[in-house]
Amino acid sequence: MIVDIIAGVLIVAGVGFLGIGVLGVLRFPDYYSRTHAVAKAETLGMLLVFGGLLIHLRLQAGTAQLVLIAVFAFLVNPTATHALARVALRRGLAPWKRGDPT
Amino acid sequence: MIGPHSSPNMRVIGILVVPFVLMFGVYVIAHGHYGPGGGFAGGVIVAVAVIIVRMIAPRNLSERFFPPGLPLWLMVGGMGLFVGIGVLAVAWGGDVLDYASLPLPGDDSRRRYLSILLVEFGVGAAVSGSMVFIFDLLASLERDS
Amino acid sequence: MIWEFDLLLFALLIASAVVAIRVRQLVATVAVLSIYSLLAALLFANMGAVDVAFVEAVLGSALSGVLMLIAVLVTDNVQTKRSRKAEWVAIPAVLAMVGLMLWASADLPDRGIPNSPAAEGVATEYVENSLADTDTPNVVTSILADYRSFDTLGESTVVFTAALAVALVLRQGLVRRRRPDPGPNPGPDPDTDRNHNSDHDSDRAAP
Repeated sequence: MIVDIIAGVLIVAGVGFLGIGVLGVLRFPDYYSRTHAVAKAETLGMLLVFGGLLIHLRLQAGTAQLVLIAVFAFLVNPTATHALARVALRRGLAPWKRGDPT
Repeated sequence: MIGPHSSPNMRVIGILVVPFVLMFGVYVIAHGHYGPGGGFAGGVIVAVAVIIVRMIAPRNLSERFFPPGLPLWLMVGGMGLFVGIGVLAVAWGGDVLDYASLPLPGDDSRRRYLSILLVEFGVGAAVSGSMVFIFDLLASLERDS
Repeated sequence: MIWEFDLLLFALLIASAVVAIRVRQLVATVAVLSIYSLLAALLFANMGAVDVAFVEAVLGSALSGVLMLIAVLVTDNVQTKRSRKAEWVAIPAVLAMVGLMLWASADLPDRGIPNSPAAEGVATEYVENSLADTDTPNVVTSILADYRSFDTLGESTVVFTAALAVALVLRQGLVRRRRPDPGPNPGPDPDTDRNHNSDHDSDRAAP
């Protein structure tokens, strides 16, 4: 019972962070801040959702795979956004500054 | 795009992830009997692992990991395994691709089970070879800088 | 199967297809096509075809996106004019085709109906005897690799032949690029060429 409540809270919090990430992509002014929103909010949201699912499922045959998926998402998602932002900077996309048109 | 990636983060995380991707690819090929997957999907995942190495590792390392001549051999070998199983079944007195007539251990169903595994590995080799082959050719079209 | 979810996925699928056509940059088109494949994979999974969904997700939304992206990067970016005349022919033809498909689809049996032709006859035989015949719990694998292995052989031959054909075409381009002949065909536009090189230089600058 209490375990289910904890799991539910974690999943709802994770979905909330994913929603914040989407909001960031829609509202932030330039490419770099958008990748920032995706990398941070979505990684944390995904980890929270996976944690909630882990608690919800207890110990099963499938939970080890869930842990592996979470670990690799945690490693790969920030790295991929890092690579994207790096390529943009190398190709000369200027970051947004206060006062620039959005 | 073949060669060491300029970002150390990409190089470290990429090399860290590649063995697991490879293992997952082989798992998907071999586990097709019990879950979703099989030769096509597993072969593509193996090819993805090789492509990651090509994009982040120095050229000599990535060519030692997966020699440039290997994709073509994988394609030919995979197709040869598949066709060979089909023809061998005829040689042992069955129809084409009639796995039960192959000289493998076990009863009929166990022989079919083992031959399905072999065929899946053949398809996986052919698919991963094709994908890496196309990637290598496309990447060699990149203008030299 | 939740039909609201299906409807949402179909709407997103059509929307992403339209966006892929309307977007102005090829790189963005590749990204949107990857999203399209991912949505198609979700649809397949929702229908219960997990194996097809797996292949679609891995091949359609991951690897083919990478290959198309590299193809976009290594080729020249040449703008062509839209041909109004072609639109006058193409739009009615496409609309007629869509109408024909919709009209024909009215005769198809509904999804998941147990007595549709696809679920009767030899299909029930496969489902009932698969475990005893091949020791394989996954019916899809036993059908693909045993009962219908001849079809799978054909499919693998298609992949093999397609890869060889792509290799032949690409090798042609490689030879032409290595030895630019000063014949009647002018080489690539020097302007775009210079742009490309400068792009790559800035990309490859040492850290």
